[in-house]
Amino acid sequence: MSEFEPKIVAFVCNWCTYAGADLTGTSRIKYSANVRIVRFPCTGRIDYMLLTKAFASGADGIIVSGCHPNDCHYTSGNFYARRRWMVFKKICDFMGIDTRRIVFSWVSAAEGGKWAEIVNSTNEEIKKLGPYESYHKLSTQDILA
Amino acid sequence: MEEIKKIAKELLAENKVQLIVGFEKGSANKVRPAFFTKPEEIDQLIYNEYCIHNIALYLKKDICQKANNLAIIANPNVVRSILQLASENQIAEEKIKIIGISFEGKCVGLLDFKAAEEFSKTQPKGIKPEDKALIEKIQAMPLEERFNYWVEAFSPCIKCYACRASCPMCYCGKCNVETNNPQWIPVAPHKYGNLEWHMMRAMHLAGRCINCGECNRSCPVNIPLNILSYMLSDFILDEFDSEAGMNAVFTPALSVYTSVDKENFIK
Ligand code: SF4
Ligand code: SF4
Repeated sequence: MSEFEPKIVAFVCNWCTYAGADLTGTSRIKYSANVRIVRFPCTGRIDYMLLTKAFASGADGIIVSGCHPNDCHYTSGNFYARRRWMVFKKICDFMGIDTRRIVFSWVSAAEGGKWAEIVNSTNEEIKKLGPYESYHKLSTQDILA
Repeated sequence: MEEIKKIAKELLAENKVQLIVGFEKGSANKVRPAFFTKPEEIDQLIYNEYCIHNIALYLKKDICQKANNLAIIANPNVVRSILQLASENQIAEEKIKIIGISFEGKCVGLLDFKAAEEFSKTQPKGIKPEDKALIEKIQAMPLEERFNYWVEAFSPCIKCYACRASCPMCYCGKCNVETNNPQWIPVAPHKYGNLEWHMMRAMHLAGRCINCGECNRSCPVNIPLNILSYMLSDFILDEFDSEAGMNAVFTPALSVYTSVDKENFIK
């Protein structure tokens, strides 16, 4: 059997992390190809339901990333997001959704190196955890049962 | 009860309000919410230990919206709902008279918002020790078991949305569950859709739930869904020192932020 290759979805903001990921590329830094990046205007726009949709669609891990505090293009989107993540993480924990599979980070447009590290470390972590079978099963087989 | 009736009758007789929201006798020993517009109708008004429904729900319905002013028989849950609705600009102080009643059934007379805030603080919290015990029991379970617990707990859910219909804070004209492009929540009541529906419901009420338990009481299959909201209320009180239903001027925890919010979970 070939080695498990995690599917990782990254929800990132346009102004910092997306630009940071671009820098990773233009700097020729090699990083894990397991990540699929989805670009948003702002972390404040990243609806938590998108995260559960990603798991339901087969993702094994998720990265949510945006501008550092005080660097938000829209001034405060990341501050609202930070609170929402806290509450969302809490409810996920309480409902038994594996929050080890959700990584939150701040990656600025200048941090191409950090972006590569985040993706690589997330990939390693998810490899250890294995596929997110319980959620995938819930969103596929259990519907038909 | 006589005192409540007297206040209600006077309010209508002196034309201070057009409508009173309260309770009347239902079938068997039951009570049901009722709307009174004439002083003589007040003879039908009752208040007893069965009047536990959170009738603040009706404040956002047509019958109350069309009235220029109204009064409501308000136990502490109703009072807290009114304060929360007021803080969300859903009801104006000029429009509403609150006939306050404690959890023990004692009438405390008419309350303005200031008095309602004071009253709300003196009354016991909505989260009971047994709710806390259940929260702790679930939190102590290992991850997989917790997941299975909720999947199984939600599996009898038939998506009747009675919980949503009975919650005074669920007043959106169009709910996300009715949005079908994109389809956020699957329509069919299967285990997966149920889990996401309940997660969404809890998130939308995070920092706004006043812990009245109506959602749980109205559920035909007794799902302890209120526990999700209670757990978040507790967390939000601890983390952000924010409590819904206590102040008429208030911004729910998720609509504000501080520069010192925790971020030890962010890489
Ligand atoms: S979520 Fe339930 S407990 Fe909270 S305010 Fe609504 S009906 Fe009451
Ligand atoms: S009232 Fe109960 S069965 Fe109906 S949608 Fe809510 S949780 Fe499901």
